[in-house]
Amino acid sequence: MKKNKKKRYQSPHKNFRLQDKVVSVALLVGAAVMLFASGANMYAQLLDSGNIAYHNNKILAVAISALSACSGLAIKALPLTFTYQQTKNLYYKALFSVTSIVIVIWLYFQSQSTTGFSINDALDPDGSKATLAFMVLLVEVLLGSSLFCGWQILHDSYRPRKQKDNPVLPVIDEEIAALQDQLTDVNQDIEVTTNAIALYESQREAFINQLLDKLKLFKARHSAIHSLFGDE
Amino acid sequence: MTRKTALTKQASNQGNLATKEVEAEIKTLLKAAAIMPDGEAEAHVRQQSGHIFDKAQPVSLEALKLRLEALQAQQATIKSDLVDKRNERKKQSRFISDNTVTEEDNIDEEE
Repeated sequence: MKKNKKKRYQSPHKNFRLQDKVVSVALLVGAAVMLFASGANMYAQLLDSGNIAYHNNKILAVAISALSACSGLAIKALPLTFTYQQTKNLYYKALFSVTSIVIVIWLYFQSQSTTGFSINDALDPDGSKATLAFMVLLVEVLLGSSLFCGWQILHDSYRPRKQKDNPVLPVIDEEIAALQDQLTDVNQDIEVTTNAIALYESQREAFINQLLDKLKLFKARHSAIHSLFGDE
Repeated sequence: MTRKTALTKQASNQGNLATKEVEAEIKTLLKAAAIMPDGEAEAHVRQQSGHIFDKAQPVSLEALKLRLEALQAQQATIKSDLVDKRNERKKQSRFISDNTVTEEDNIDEEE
């Protein structure tokens, strides 16, 4: 008797191994912390800017701060629009690479800051404070996105593959290779036949010239005999 | 023997005209031409020696030319087929959606 299969949606998370579950939670928490930190950082900078509008209307400051977190989510969401898994993988690699480079640059700027995390204006005559603040925000947004993408990659690995290689392409490739072989053979035959025709024509011409030379000799001998013996 | 070898051998044999029959024909031709006026004799020898040469060849020049035409036609067909195949390949996408695997199938396999 056939088992009646229940057609119900089951989240792939239930199939996660314990290690992947832990990593998944860590990545999600890390991403959330980073994106929240970017928002908080932005909020602090807005209030620190001294602009009275943000002090009077804190909701405005919160709304603008939320943009940095949302931008992180947008960076993460972009690969969802890609059709091919290969394109997504390429995007993830590019994102991870850019994040790594930005982290290195941020670390450099951070190490150059003599006052550490509490940046002192007096020790910042060349405006590196603004650069450092920008780098910190960038690192937070990109790191949040990267961690979120890492979670997505782990999540996708438990999903069935929805794309496969096109089976028609290898067949066409084989046909193209066979045609190219045929073309090479035909080209060789054409070359040999053309050479044979050229040889034929040159040898024919040489043969005719040879006979014409013989004719001259023959005629010379004939006229010599004729002049010696006359009509006799 | 491959077709290429046969053609090459045939080309190398073309100059081999030293048969007794050919030599006899040449003698007859020269004797006949010797008594003709110079211009006429030259034209006669030119024409007849060409015939003697053609007769002595295993494959005629016409046959070779026809063969070349056939090969060129075959080459054009193959090139056209190649262009078609390459265009067809460009139209095909590298990946296609795999409808044979569903999320439910995956869950069943896991179970």
